[in-house]
Amino acid sequence: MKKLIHPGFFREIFRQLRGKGLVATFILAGLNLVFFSIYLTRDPVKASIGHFDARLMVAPMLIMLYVFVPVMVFGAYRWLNKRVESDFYHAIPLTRTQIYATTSAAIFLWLSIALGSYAVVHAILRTAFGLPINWLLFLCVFVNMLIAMIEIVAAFSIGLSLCGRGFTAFFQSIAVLFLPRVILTVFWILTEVDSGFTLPFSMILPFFNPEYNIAATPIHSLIYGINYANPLAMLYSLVMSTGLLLLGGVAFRKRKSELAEIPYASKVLQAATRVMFGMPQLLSVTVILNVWLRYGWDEDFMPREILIPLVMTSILFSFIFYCLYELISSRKMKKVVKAMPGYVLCLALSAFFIFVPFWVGKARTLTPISAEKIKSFRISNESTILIPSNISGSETWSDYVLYHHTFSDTKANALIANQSKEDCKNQQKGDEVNITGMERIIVNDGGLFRKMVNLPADYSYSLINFKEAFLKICKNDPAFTEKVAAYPKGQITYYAQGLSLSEAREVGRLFREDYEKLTDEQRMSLIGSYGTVIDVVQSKSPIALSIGLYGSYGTENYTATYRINELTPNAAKAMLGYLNARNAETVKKELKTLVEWMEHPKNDPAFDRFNVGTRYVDQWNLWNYEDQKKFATPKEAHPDEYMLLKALSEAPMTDDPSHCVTFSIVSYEMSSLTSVKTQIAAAGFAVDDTLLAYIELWIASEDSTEEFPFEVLDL
Amino acid sequence: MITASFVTKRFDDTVALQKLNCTIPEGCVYGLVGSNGSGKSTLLRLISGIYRPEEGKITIDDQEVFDNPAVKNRIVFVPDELYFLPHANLRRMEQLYASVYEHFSLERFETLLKEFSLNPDKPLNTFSKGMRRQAATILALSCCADYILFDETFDGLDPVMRNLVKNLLYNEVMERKATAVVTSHSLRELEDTCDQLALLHKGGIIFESDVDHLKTSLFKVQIAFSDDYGRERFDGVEMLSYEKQGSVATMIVRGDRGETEAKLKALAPVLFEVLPLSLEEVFVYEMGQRGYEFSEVLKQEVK
Repeated sequence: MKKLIHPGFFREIFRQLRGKGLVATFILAGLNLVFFSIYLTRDPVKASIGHFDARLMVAPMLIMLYVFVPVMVFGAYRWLNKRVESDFYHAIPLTRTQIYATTSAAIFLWLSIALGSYAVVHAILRTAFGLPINWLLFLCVFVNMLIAMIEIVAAFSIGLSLCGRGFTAFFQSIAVLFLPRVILTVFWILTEVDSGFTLPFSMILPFFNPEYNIAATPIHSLIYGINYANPLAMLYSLVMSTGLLLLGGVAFRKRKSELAEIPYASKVLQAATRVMFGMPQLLSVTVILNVWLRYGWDEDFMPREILIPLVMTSILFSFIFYCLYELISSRKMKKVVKAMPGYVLCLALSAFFIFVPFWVGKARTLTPISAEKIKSFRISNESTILIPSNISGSETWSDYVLYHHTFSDTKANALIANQSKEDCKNQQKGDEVNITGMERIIVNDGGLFRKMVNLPADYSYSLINFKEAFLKICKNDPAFTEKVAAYPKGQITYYAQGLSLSEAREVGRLFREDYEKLTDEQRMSLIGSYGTVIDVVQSKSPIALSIGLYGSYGTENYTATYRINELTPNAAKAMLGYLNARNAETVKKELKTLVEWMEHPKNDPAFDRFNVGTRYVDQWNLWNYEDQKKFATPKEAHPDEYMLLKALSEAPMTDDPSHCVTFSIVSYEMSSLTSVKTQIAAAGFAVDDTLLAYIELWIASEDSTEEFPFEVLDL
Repeated sequence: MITASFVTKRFDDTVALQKLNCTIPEGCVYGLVGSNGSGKSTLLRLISGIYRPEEGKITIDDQEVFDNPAVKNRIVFVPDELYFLPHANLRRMEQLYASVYEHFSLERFETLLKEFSLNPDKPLNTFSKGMRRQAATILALSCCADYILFDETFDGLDPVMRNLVKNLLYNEVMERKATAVVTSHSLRELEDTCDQLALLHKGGIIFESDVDHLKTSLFKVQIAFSDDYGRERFDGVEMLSYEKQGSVATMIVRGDRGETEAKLKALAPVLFEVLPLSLEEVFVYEMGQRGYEFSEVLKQEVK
């Protein structure tokens, strides 16, 4: 048997694609630099830590997928659309399979060079800037891109094999690539948009999960983001891409040579493409009518006198686009007239979208799950955020542990079962559920597929009670607590406000040593930062310091913030030392300026503001218009605050965490018309026990409405 | 041997070839003549394996051509509209041809380059029409294929180059026993080139014959007698046409020339002259015999 890939022919096609391949390679490398610069400047702290941002890494590759891949395939097969060229290539003594395989191989090699060089440049840039890489995720992204590349090459090969003109070939390729996915996505969205307790189609068959078709995913990702580390999605896409590539081969083999310069061979695909052109104009109306069917008519939202012209206009536009495609592709009015009856397919598809998702959604949401059947459950990370956390990096270590822990609790099972009944009732009534911030519980009832119970973010219907009870059960699971309290795993880097990278790393190292010595309960008290933590015991420590870390574990990125206080004395001491060395003079100067200002205020209070502990002290608060009417200075208006600030400004600096209060100054500086830069400095002040006690009291009262009891302060 | 059996080829509603049968023997120059749209190019594209027939089959030595590299390796096709790789020169074309055609001869390529005096490093898109055809001829002949298919072979070549190409074709046929199939809408073009000729009309071969036989079997006779005479005097002589002006009769006769001459001389004419016919004249008479109007079949020719 002759070689499938003919070396001589491969050399020639590879040479023909050289220009395009080199342009793709250089543009990708250029984009690499651009996006890397954005990455470095957008969030310098994250960038200096080397946190992996897949979005910035993937964006240029998506450009490659949707621009360079089609250009490359069209470049390689352009001869199919010219009779003279088609004759030349079909006359040479190679089988069609050889021509297809060899051409595909040349395309893949160029694309791989472009993609590979992008990866290499990216890796070099990261290494040059000392930024660590999550190699597993890095690999996953590239495997995803390679699979998507195969799929797009295959789709365009099919389109080109079935058409003899570039215009029709392009749009029929688009139809092959996206039309099934768009139909599925619209169907999926309309079916699942308000499902409370469901067995989603996406869980039944990968085909229904838009995330699983990597090449077409960006459509879906506009709404839901992309998970680049989903092995099932990769496998599914690979199988589908390979299938499409083989289908492309069959289409190429069957293609008549004389098709060159003839718009299309496949009447079915041409009809589908026409429908693709006619559908978008109907989509808005389809969605409106679907919502109407689902929730009843809302005259305020859409008055009938607007709806009817809207429907008519949409149909008219849709029909025009439908016919226009046929006219441009076939260039024959006769064919347009012949295609006109086929427009009914657009209307039929719209009707399908209006009714079928509604019926399907209604039918499948009415089956609640019973508590006895629930064997275990876990919390899904799919729906709580719009962009998956492994890309945005917003997932915390606690979230990571939560999403990867399987719970088994009879009380929780009962709650889930009740919630599912509640959801079914709400579904029957047609109540709308707000999906933003929705939590999903994946339930294992022993069946082949996992079921999902959605906990809408809407706090009506007593959901808040359910959530609290449910989360309490989860948090009391000892196995879960143990995992959360354990120090985060994987590749970890540290950052802290006011510290350099190397200082943060040193503090992080000491923190870890301190942390390992603590009990689980103590560790749990350190999770989170001051002022932002709602799910851990409120600390009474006046040391408002924290260390942040970015980590990569498996293919996921996470963040974590830990408090630094007397429980972690070595880390606290080191951090205070660094802060004092850098900021002591500045802080004192700022405090003295504030004290002086309180003695001799300016007429118009500026918008500067100061932090004391974790609390803001705005100049306005010390010297508002009412104060100005009654008192000569802010010092007279607020004597207690004046005394506290004066005492602090004269206090010595210390790195002793047990006799210390941290003090932060936040100032704002206009750096441009559109952005405001924040500069944060912090330092530790030595305070005596009396002052410390009152500051502790003040900090502890931060969430209350009570004023700080300055009257008891005797300085 | 190339065999086309009941070959039908359609393009949408247009029938390009309708149940065409023909056999092209090895070691000859086979000419296909016909007006535009008669199906010449389609037949060549079918023979070269570019097209697949809707019905019937095309075989070379009993093997189907379409998608069969083993057979296609023995065929080289030079189309009427030439195509070269983008931005290519003859060297690059040679590299592709050498890699795909098993019998491509680099030695022959170099020899032909010298004969045609073409610069192999010059981009082909800077070549004139005639030079491009020369380049295509060089590449085709370097493939050392058993079957060389030329569509509108001499289009764009000056007389010197035409002769050179013709000679090269003869050499291919004589020395390598190759078979050349050449097409033209001009009968004169093929007259002194082909061993066999076939006339295509409306997707079918309406006439096929050996050129030498055609030329020798049909001839013009001018004859006169001292007495009055009629057509019946020539009974026993196969006449395709007969005209008499005064005492001189002019007739187109088919048959063995020696026998016919002897037969007519025996009638003791006062004037007797045998004139050779051009191939075109032969075709006019043969077509007439078959009920075709020659000017209809070869429209280009009469213009």
